[in-house]
Amino acid sequence: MKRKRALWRRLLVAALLVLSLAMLTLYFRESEGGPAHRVQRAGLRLLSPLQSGASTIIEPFQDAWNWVGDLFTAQSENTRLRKEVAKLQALTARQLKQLREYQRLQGLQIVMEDEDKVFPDGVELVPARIVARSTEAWYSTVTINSGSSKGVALYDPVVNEQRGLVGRVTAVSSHAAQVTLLTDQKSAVGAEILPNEARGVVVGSITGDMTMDLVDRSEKIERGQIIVTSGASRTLRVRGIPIGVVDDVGKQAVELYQSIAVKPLVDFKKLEWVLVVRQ
Amino acid sequence: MGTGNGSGGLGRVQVSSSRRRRGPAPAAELRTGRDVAIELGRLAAMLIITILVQTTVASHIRVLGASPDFALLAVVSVGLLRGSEIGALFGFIVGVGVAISLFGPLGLSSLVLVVVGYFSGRYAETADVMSGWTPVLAVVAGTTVAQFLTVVMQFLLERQTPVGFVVTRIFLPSLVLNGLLAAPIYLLTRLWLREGVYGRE
Repeated sequence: MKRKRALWRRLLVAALLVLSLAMLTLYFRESEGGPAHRVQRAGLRLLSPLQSGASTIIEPFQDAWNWVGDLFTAQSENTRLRKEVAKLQALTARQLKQLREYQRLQGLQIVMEDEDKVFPDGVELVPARIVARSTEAWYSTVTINSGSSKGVALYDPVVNEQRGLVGRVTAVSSHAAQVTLLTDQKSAVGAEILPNEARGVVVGSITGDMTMDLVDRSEKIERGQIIVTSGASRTLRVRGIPIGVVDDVGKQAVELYQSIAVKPLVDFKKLEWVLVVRQ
Repeated sequence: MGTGNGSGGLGRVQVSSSRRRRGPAPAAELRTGRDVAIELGRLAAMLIITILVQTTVASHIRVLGASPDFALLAVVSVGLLRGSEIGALFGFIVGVGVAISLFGPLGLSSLVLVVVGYFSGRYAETADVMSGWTPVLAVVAGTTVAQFLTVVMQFLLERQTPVGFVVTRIFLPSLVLNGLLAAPIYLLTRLWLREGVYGRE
């Protein structure tokens, strides 16, 4: 009897392990429309209302937690922000001058008069609430409560209330979608540095830091310059969505390109609501 | 380690006065069909709560860059209280649920949690003496195994794994945080699953 029970126990565990490995293999080998992905979407249809409810319940506690945390950082944050505002004002003045010159020369209407003009005509912003987040450092992803039923599609860019780029939609079900944040190590977004228009790719990392790679060595980049999407990616065609500012410039004699540390405009830890840009 | 009379560690948790081995109750000890239904209902409710807490609450609690792994804590607790079979099964379903909720790769979390649930259960079934520190030890061991398996899987999935960062920013903070939460989560689980259903109290 004891032996039979031990055999049954081992068989059960072996079966569960084989099933897990089979699901994992299937998940990575199949397309987005494959059975494992379909099961996942169906499961999420059941779970997403519960997640929305749980998010609503914890919201006051989350606000209280954030408020306590903010108290500790408020003073140093204030000093830092004052310095940053002064720096940005100087930068804005310089950029406005360049912008006017550019407009005069090109005779084109440019985006920055109104921040929404960043997005071309016909683009619609779909508000969504973050209902779940990955807790593992390996993945920087969040789940939002808007899906294909509201027109959200794969690779749609996602911005926050200040129109800073948050990430891109990487999986969609009818009532929810996964957003891979810019800080995810598999994230790569075509970007350009203003006003030089130096192009490169902003990538994330497991540490949560963001870097802009593949920027030509000949470009003269300084701290504080603004980085926006270039619109050159196959999957992200909107140009001019703010990503962050240049935090540090790494240039080595032997490297073909310079690597730039990016300070994101978005506070990824405090995201609650986002806007999906329907391309 | 804790003492037999409950004066050390978490005191009376899983400790019998005579220091007899006191592992999880096998399902055969359930007395009636009603008991089985109640037990399944409690496990199902715990399953849903675990998935919701792991996906909506855990990410807001960050200490030294790490978040507590409520899924692992629940699986270890269930394994300790209900044995290796239920522990493994519970781990599998929690893993699938978390992967579904976060659009994560199906099978990855469940693979890790099946191993953790099974060995937690086996530890409870085979240990000569169960002390008050058992949940903490099981969670620390479970976290170590889970992190190791995750690193291996991530390496196979071609995600970069800088060892220094993994050890100092992921493994150690998770170990401390999970270790601190082990006892309260175990006690809550024990309270929720009420061992009395098995007629052992």
